[in-house]
Parts: sequence; structure tokens; C-alpha cells
Amino acid sequence: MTRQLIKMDAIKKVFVSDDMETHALSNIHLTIQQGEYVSITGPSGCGKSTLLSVMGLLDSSSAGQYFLSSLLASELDSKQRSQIRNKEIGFIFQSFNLISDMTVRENVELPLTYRTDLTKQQRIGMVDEALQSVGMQHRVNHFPAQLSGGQQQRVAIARAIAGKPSLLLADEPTGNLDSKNAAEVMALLDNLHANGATICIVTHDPRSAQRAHRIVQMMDGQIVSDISCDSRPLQTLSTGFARDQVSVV
Amino acid sequence: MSLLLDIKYSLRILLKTPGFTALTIAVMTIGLGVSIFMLSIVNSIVFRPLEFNDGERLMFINRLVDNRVQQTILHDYQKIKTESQSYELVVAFGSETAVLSDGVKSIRYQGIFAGSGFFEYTGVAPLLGRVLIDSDQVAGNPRVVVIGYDLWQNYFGGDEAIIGKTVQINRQQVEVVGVMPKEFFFPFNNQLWLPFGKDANNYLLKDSPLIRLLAKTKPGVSIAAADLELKTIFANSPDLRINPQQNISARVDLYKRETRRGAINILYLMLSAGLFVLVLSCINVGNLLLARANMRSKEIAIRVALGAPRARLITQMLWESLFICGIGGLLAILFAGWGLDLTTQFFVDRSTEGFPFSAAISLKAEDVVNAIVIILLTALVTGFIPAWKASGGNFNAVLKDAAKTSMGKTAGLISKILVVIEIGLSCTLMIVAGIISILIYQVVTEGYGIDIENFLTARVNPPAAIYPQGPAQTGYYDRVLMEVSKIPGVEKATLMSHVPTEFLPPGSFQPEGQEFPDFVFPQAHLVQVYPNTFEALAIPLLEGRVLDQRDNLNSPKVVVISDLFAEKLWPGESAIGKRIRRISNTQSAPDEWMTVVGVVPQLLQGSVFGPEQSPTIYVPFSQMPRDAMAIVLKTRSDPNHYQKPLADVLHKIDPNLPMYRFAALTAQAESNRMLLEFVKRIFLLFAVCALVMAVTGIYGVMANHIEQRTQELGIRRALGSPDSSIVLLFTRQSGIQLITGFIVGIPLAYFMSGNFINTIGAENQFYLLAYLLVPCIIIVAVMLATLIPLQRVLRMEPALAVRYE
Repeated sequence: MTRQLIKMDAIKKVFVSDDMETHALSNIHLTIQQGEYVSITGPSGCGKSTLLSVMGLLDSSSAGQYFLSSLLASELDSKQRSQIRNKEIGFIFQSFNLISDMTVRENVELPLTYRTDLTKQQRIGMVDEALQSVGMQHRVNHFPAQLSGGQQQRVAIARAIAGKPSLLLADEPTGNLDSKNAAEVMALLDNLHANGATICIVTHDPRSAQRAHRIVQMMDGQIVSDISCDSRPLQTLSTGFARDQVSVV
Repeated sequence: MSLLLDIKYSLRILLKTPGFTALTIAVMTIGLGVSIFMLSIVNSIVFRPLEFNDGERLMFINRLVDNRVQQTILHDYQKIKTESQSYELVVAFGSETAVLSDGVKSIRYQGIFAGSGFFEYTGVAPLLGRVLIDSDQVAGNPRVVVIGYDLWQNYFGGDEAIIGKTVQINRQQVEVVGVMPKEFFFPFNNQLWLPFGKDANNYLLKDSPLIRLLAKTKPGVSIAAADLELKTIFANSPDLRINPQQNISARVDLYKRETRRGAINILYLMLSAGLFVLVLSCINVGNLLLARANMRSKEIAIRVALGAPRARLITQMLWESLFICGIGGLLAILFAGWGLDLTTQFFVDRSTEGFPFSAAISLKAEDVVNAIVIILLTALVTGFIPAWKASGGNFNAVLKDAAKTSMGKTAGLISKILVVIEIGLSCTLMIVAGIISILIYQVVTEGYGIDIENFLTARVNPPAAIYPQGPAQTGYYDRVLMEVSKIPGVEKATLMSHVPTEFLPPGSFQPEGQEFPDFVFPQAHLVQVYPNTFEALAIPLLEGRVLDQRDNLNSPKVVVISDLFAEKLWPGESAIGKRIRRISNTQSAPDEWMTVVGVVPQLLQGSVFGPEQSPTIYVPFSQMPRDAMAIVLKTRSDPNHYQKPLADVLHKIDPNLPMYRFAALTAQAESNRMLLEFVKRIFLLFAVCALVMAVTGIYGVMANHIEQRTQELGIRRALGSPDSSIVLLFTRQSGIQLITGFIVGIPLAYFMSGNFINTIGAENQFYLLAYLLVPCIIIVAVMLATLIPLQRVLRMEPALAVRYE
């Protein structure tokens, strides 16, 4: 029995500037079950990143209803949204977005420091576990500038999964990587999914998109197709995916 | 633990940019340093309670006659002591010359004649022996004295067996009963305390002696309540009215505040100026932190995406300003302490009569606590706006690289407003500093009315018991004048009650035939002179004649007045032949009429600052004798070389009569203007700080602003824009900020300097110089701060500028 993680009903997003309105999202209906691996694709400017931002509570919708784990997003205040982003969502960005003045360990630990329910020892354990799962435990004291792009993205993935979130959101995670590193990162995501992670990835790269089990195609702010390309049943986990070891390919 | 991570991260950021860190710490050190310094001075001089038990309850009472502050009289003391319920202690004291002599050497001190309860008021126990007790006040009991530590050490060589010994004070045998501790200087730099011994019942009201009144309020009684009660007592006491037509009242206030009232306005203005510098520092650092926060917008956006609550983000960013302000504040406290030591030395070096304040100017624990509060507030002020702005930005756009590090519209506006405030405040401070400098320059160069070089002055005060007014006193002074004139190198010698530059309170005078509403009569300084004074001081005669030998006790009363007084009383007319008389607040009947026989130029008498210089009138010593007189010698060379010969001559005339207040007239002038000189130096320091901060602050903002627009400038140049139009673009923006800053700063300077001018001196057209020069200096500084970073970008090839990140 799968649990519904995301439910979007008639979501709209309008950007208003001085003299014009831009409809970035129009009438989006989307449901994502726990454990799904979904890719969102489409041409530049079609609204896929905006959809991901709304999904990740980085942005709010202009209209419609968005439920995340049965919580109505529009009823959440700023503090609650921060808490959900911190505990339930892991972000992976195209440009890695590591903090250059922090070491690998500090970067991965950063979201955990915003939680009050963890002791220092627990944080260390979670950071070690996450870094080990992406194969970066040997570079803990390095700064981002001392790492390759692929390594930086692995650290970013470790940061995203360290807090054992319910949902991983990746925005063009291979956009800044060469093909070898891109393949490694995608394999890492595959493994995370294989271990139960719910992943939603935005990409314009068809090869990356096709690794997902469901492909949502967007155009002009609307979903134009939603295809399940894997006949396998969605995995169901009763426990957090990160509790299982994820091996690096 | 997360807190430690934030601290560690903030420190790392600061260490990563040592130039930025050093600059911001230096700016905060200056701002905090001057404000802590000024606050400590104001605290030391005005607010800090006397360092005695219950110092916050120690009050001073003044009499008000027609709303003007006057000294209290003995009958006031009796009335207040009998009728007031607000005080647990009311103490009278007076100050008189006390000549201490052991038969060989005589030294003149300012003795305090202390009434019952004087030592109880301070609560300070003697080092040796006892303080004065009530039985000492009873006439006929043995005469006693309590001496100060310095006197005990210097005059008696620290004699451990001093208690019970007899000394001569004012030629009377007095027993030493106590020695006060080293730090006891009350009410001023006094070293001798004698019993007051006066009873109001022995005096008619019109002869009631002038006294000073201290009071200690009962616990829980507010100053306002005590003041109201006092006013009620005076309102219901017609028996205290010497002149029935006058309104009398009284006021009570903290001892320190009441005795420093004259300096309070100046000190407040200086404190305001110090706070201006602190505001400038805050603006500077705040602006730099804002620019930096903007550059870190991406990092902040990442933190937000990872779930950092806004409060946590703000706290994390505040750590940075806390470190900057904390380190700057620590340095500022050290510099302020050093500055206070220098200030003390400044006054000690210049004052001819000892340190001018009753309490040391120093950094106390209380000042350090104040400093810490200021530092924390400053950290909050400088850090909060950048943190709030940075944590509330469009982080989603930043994460998508759309906004990168360019300054947002609001942040840009805040930055521009801060620059305008910087220009305005710098302009204000510099104009006020300029006006004070002009004022001091005028006082130094033309303020005294005569050339005061090569004059030596000293005072003698022959006691009335030995030299009663009349032939004995005149004989003494005539002999002094004759003998000192013979000292080799002395070109001229004379005697006068108060030398030019010396302070004396003005009195009231009524011109014949003129009435004044509410009995507010014209004020003038009264100076008794020997006939040759005008010649000795080279005071030119403008009209009539000077005083001479024909003006004696039996001849008609005559007076020479200054042109300032003549113009004030009889504008457009000759003053010669007109009559004036003195109005005394302590006598029921006015003095005799005196006829004006001559007019001379106005000399600066006493304080070099005040709303208006009071005119002077000169009366013959023979017609209005007084005990203490000043000897004035015009010397051929350095007047300080004549101190010993003068002392020798006076000792020969009367070995028991010491001279005091030795000083060259120039030194006395310097002592008189030391407070103003101090104010000038402080304001010049503030002005320099303000200019440096304005320039560095504006430079920082402009450099950051121009760097962020490097790519845009590259595009403009690539599209064919000439450099001149780019320069015009930025200078126009700076020009708008300059004009807006001046619109704020110049009126503020006018208001602030207006207060200053009212306190210190009269309006003067030369002040316009400051209003013209200061904006010019700021314009040049701001334009340089704009053009230097702009030139750096314009030297870059357009192709490089276009790709600049």
C-alpha cells in the first residue's frame, strides 16, 4: 500500500512585474506516491523548475491547492515551511550550492544544525552515514573549491539525504557535470530510489529523464503528458530509505 | 552546539577577509571610542553621584531673585532648616581666605568655614583625629581646624603628632583636631576646614552673610518633591525678601548638576557630537555589512532552502557584527581610558588653580558597563538591518542564479539613504567644529582688547583685622606699589581688583533717569583700580578723562566705563557727565550715584565664553576700597622670571601676608579658555573622524556599487558610450546624494551651532566661512570617492568588463 506524498490540484503560479503578468504554471494537477521516481521534463521556460520550487516549498502557488504529506501548503506559516523543508525535503541543485566557506562535513551537517531534536553525536553519525553512502567520507575536511564538480554534487546529495527526508527534489542535478560524473550522479540517485527514496528530478536531458519510472512532460506551464515507463510496482517502505545503506556505483 | 558552529563560521568569514575586518573594526573603534570617552566625561563631571555615602541624595540649594540664580544667605539656611521636611541634613558653609603661618612661612589657602553637619554630609571619616563637631561652632570655645592630606604632607611634613598642635590661621591660634584622607577634596580643592560659627540671629536681613547651602534628602524624597517644598517655603516667606519689590524663590538639584550647570550645555553638545560620530560608524559598518550580506545572498538562500528559520539566519549574521563591535569596543574602551588620562593632564597643565573639577575624570566600572551596553546595542543596530534584509530576499531567484550578487532595489535604496545621512552628519559636525575654531581664533587674536604679553599678576589679601579699610590698608597698598615698581626690569606696576582675563561676576547698575521692567537692570563688571591702571595696561582713552589722583574718598564719586556700556546705556549720545549707581541684591538701599568721567574700550573680563560679554566699569580704589587686590607688573622680559623678586618684596613688607594666584597674564588667559580649547580640540577630532568616515564609507559604497555595475559599464562602452558620459552618470548620482545630504546637514548644523553660539559667544559673520568651506571639502571628498573606483573600471578593456563577474 503506497502513501500519497504529493497532491497538487489546479496549481497556478503567476509572476507579476511592473507592466505584465507571466503565467509560469497553469492548472497543474499532479500526484506523487511515496517511493516514486518522477522526472519532469520540458523545454527551457516551460515552468518545470517553478513547479519544483512550489513542490519544495521554496515558492508558493498563486492559486490551487498543494498537499504535502496531507498538509495543505497554503496553511503553513514561514516557520512551518522551514521545518518541513528541513526535515521532509532534500534539495539537489544544478550548481551544487555548497557553501564555499564550510568544509564538506560542515556543509552536510548544516541542515541538521537547524534541528533541535538532534544531539551532536547523532548529527555526527548522520553526517558520516550520508557521506559514506555517496563515497565522500575521505574528504570531510576539504572545502568545496578543493573538489571536482562530481564530488561537489555528491556532497550536495549527502547533504540532501543526511536528514532522512521523505522527498528528494533535484533540479538539473547533472547540468553542470561532464558525462562521466553525470552518469555517476544519476546512478547514485537510482540507488537511493532503489533503497526507497521518493525522487522528483527536473531535467531537460532525455537520458536522465528516462532513468525515472515516470516522466512528466511540461509545456508553457502545463503538464502535457504523464507517462509511467516502468511496469514494476512502486516500492513501498515502512521505514525511511536512508536507514538502509546505499552503495555507490 | 549549533551556536558554536555559527560562532566558528562567523570567525572564519572575518578571518577570510582581513582587510574588511580590520576596516570595520577600526571604524567601530573610532565611533565607540569617542562616544564612550564623551559619555565618561559627562558622567564624571555631571551625572556620577559624589563618591560619598548616599551620593545620589546630596543636593545643592540656590536662591532665585527675580528668577536669577543668586547665592543663598544665612537667613535662608535658618528658614529651610526650620521649615523643610525633605532633608535629613541642611548644611551651610562659606569660603574665605585663610592664611596659614608658622611664623616663618605663610601660605594662603581657600578655607572652608563649615557649618554643623558638613562632614556628616559627606560621611567621610578623618584619617587622623576628628572632624568638626557642634561644640566647635559655639563662639568662645577653643578655635580648631581640620586639615587636608596634601597640606599635612607638604606643610607639616606628614607629622604623625600633628593632632593637638597649634598653628596660626589669619593671625589667630588654632588647634589642629583632624586630618582628612588623601582623596578628600570637598567642596573643591580645599585643604582647610574651620567652624562656620555664624548665627542668623546676630544679623539683620540686609546684612545677612552670603553662604552656600548643601542638603541631603531623606530616603525616598525625590528632587522634584524637595524642590516644590522649597519653592513653597520661599513663596510664603516675605521675611526673606531684602528688597520688597523683588521676587524670591529657590531651587534644589543634585550637587554635581547644580555646580556644573554652566558646563552642562557644552558637555551635552559634545556628547551629541560624539554620538553623531557613533551613528556615522554604525552607518559605515552597517553599509559595509549590507554590501557583504548582499554578496552572500546565495549562501543565505541555500540556508533558507535547507530549512534555516529566519530568526536563526539573523542570529547567525549578527554574530559577525557582534565580533566587529566587540573587538572594536574593547579597543575603544582602552582608547577612551587613555583619552581620559590625556584630558586630565590637559586640564592639570593649563589650569592656574589646580584641577578644575571636584572629581577625577576617569573610566569607572560604571562607564565600562555603559560601554558594554553601547557596544551590544551598536552590534544589534549595525547587524540587524543587513541580516533582516538579506534573510528576507527572493532566495528562490538567487538559487536559480537569476539575481546573483547584484544589489536589490531595496538594499540599494537603503545604501543610498545611509550615504545621504553620512554626508549630512559629517557636514553638521564639521561646520560646528569650524565655527568653534573660528570663535577660539578670534578670542585668542583679538579678544582681550589689550596686548597681554609680559604681564605678571599676583594677588594679596591683607586681613581687615590688621589692615582695616582706610589709611592702614591704603598705606599697605601704596607701599606695595612703590616697592614693586623698583624691581629691576619692571616697566610699570599697578593695582586693580580684577585683571583683564580674570573672572568676576557682573553686578547690576542703574543709569539715572532710566527705569527697567521687573528690576532687570543692566549688568556690568565692577573693577576697582589705582589711578595709573589705564597707563600701565595701555588702555586707550576714547572720551573724557581717566581716573587720577584727584578722585579720592572726599571728592565726587566718579567712574570710567567701557564703550560697550556707554553704547548700551546711552546709544548715540556722549556718556560723559551721566550718572549710574550700583544695585545690590543684598542691600535694601542702592549705592550712591557715580558720574561717568571717561570712556575706554571694552576689555575681555573673565570667561571667554558666554552669551554676551558684560561691559566693565572702573571705579577708583580710593572711593570704593576692598580687601583683596591684584598686583600687575609690566615686565621687560618673560614675566615668570619676576615671580621671586615680587615674592621677596612682598615678604619684606609683611612676612605674614602671602601672595597667591601667581601667573603671567597669558597663562591666566590660557587657563580661562582651557575649557573652550578642550571643546575645540574635541570637535576638531570629531570633525576629522566624521570626514574620514564619510569618505571611507562613501568610497566603500561607491566602489561596491561600481564593481557590481562593471558588466553594465562594459556593455555601455561596447555600445559606444564615451567615458565622459559614464563619469557624468555617476557624478550626477553622487551630486544628488550630496545635495540631499546638505539639505539635511546644513540646517542641523545651524541649529546645533546656534545652541553653541548662544552658550559660548555672539553671532559673527565669519561663521559663514564654515558654512561655505565645509560643503566644498565634502564635495571634493565625495567626488574623489566616486571617481577613483570609477577610473579603475574605466581603465579596464570593455571586453574584460563585459565578462566581469
